[in-house]
Amino acid sequence: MEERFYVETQYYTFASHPNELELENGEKLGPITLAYETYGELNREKSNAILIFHALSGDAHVAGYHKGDRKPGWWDNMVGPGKAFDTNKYFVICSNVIGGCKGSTGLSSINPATGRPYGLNFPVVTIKDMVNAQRYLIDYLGIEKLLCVAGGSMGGMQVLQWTVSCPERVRSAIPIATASRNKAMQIAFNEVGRQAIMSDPNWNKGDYYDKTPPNTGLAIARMVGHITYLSEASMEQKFGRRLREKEKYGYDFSIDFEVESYLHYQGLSFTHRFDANSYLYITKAIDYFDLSNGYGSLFEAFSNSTHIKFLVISFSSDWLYPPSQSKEIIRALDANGIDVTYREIESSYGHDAFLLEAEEQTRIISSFLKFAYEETK
Amino acid sequence: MRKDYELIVDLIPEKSKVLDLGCGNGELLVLLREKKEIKGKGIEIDGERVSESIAKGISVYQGDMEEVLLEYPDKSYDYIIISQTLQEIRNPELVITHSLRVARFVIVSLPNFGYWKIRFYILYKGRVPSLGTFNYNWYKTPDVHPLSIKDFEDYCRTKNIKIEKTFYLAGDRIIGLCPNLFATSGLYVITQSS
Repeated sequence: MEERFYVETQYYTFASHPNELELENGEKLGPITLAYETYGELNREKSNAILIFHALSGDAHVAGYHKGDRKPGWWDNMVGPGKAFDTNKYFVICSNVIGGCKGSTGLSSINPATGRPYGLNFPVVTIKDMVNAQRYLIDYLGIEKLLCVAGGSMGGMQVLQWTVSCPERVRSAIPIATASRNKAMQIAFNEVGRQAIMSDPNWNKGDYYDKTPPNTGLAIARMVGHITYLSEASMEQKFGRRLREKEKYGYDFSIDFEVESYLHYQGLSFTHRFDANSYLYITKAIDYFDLSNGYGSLFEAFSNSTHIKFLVISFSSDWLYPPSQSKEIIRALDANGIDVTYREIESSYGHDAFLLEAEEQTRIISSFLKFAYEETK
Repeated sequence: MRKDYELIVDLIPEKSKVLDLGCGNGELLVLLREKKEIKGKGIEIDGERVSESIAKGISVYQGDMEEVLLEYPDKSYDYIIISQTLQEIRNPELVITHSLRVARFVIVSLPNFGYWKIRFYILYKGRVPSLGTFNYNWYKTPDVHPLSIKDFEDYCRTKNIKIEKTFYLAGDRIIGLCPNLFATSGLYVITQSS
C-alpha cells in the first residue's frame, strides 16, 4: 500500500479595509480569507507551481489526508507523489473559492459591518471574482508565473478565466470537461437546484445560520445535480431497475428502486458538508460565466494568451459539458494560433469522468506537464 | 528512417509551421521537430494514437480532419502533410481543397493502387489483393478511396492544382521508369495555382 501523506488546510487573509476587493458587480468585499493547501516544494526559480481549481462542491483539499480522516482529498488519484500532478516535481496549490463554505470567506462568514453571518448580504460573486481573489494568494506565495493552471468543470472555467484575466502569469493550462460559457440547459439545471433550496421554508431568505438549515431543498438540488454528473449508460449499469431491499413494488411512494435510494443518500450526505446559500451563489457564478463577456467574442478574449500552451480534455459521455463545448474553446484558440492539444477520452462515466478516469488523464497530463516544465529550463 | 519520411524531412525548411493530417503516433512530427525545429501540430481521430503523440510532446487535435480543417484561417500553416492518409478519407476532395487553402505547400504521399502486383493479383487471381502496404482484407481495409499515381496526377491537372515536386518510390527506392506500374507510392508537393 502506498504511504499516506498528510496535509493541513492553510488560510490567507487580505483585502482588509480600505483595500477591499472590487467585484465584477461593482460591490466591494473584504477582508477576504482564502482556504488553500499546498503539496510539494516550490523550486528556487519558482517555476514549478501549479494551481488547481475545484468544481462546484469541492474544496482546497485536493489530495492527501487530513489527520483523522479516512478519505483522501477529492482528486487524490491525480495529485501526489508520482501521480499526474507529481508533487515530487511540482509545487501544487489548490485554493477554495470565495462564496464557498469550505473555509474561505462566504455566506456563513461574519459580516464585519453587522457582526452577523453575511447570508444574502454577501455580494454576488463571479468566476472572474474568484480568480481575482486567487491572484492575491499567488502574489502572497511569491509566484510570478504559474507553470500550469488546471481543473475540471467549474474548475475548468477558472482555468480559462486565468488565461484571459492574467495571461502573463500562466505558462500552460488544462481545462477539463468544461465550457467557455454556461448554456441554456446548464443554467436550467442550476435554476431547478436553486428553486429547490429557496422554496424550502427553512431557507428563510438565506437567514438560517442560527436555525435549522434548508436541508430538504439542498438535498433535492444535489439530487438533480448528481444526475447531470452521471450518464444514461453508467446509471443503467450501476442501478438498472433493481429494487431496494424489496422483492416487489411497494405501491406506496416509499423507496422502490436502487437509484432512488442512491440519490436520497447523495442528497442527504451533501447537506452534511455543504451550505445551501453557497450552492445558490456558486451555481449563479457558473451561470454568469461567459468568457467572451467584455471582449466581443471568444476569439478576442484569447488574443493576449497566445504564449500559453493548452491541453483541453473532454469525455465522450459527458452530456453536461459535452465535447462540443470543448471544441468551441479549441476553435477560438486555433484561430489565435495558440498551441493547443485536444483529447476526447472515451468514457461511460459522464461528467464525473474527470474525477474517475485517472489512468488516461495521468498519461496525457503528466506528459503535457513534463514538456511544459522542460521549456522553463 | 522510412524513405518517404526522409524525403519529407528534406523537403521542409527549418522552423516551418507544419500540420500533419492523420498524424498517427506523432513519429513524423517528432522527426521534423528534431531535424528541422518545426512548429508542428497533428490531427488524429484515434484516441490511443493521440495519447501516444501527447506522450512525445506533440500538439495534437483529436477529431475529424474534415471538420476542423474548415475552421483554420487561410495560409495559417507553411506545410500540410497528408501522409498515406488520402485513400482513407471520406471526402478527399474537401481535404485537398482546404489543405491548399490553409497551407502554402501541401505534401501528399499515397499508396499506388496501380502497382503491378496489385494488377497481377486482380488479373490472375480475380481477387482484391491484401499485400504489402495494402495488407487488409476487403472488409477491414481503411482504404475507402483507392487511387493510383495516374489518378492523382489527373486529378491535379483537372483541378488546376500545381504539382511542384514528384517522387516515385518502390519500397525504399526512388524510381523513374513507368511509375504507375512499378512504384508502390507517390510523393508530391502541391500548391494552389494562382
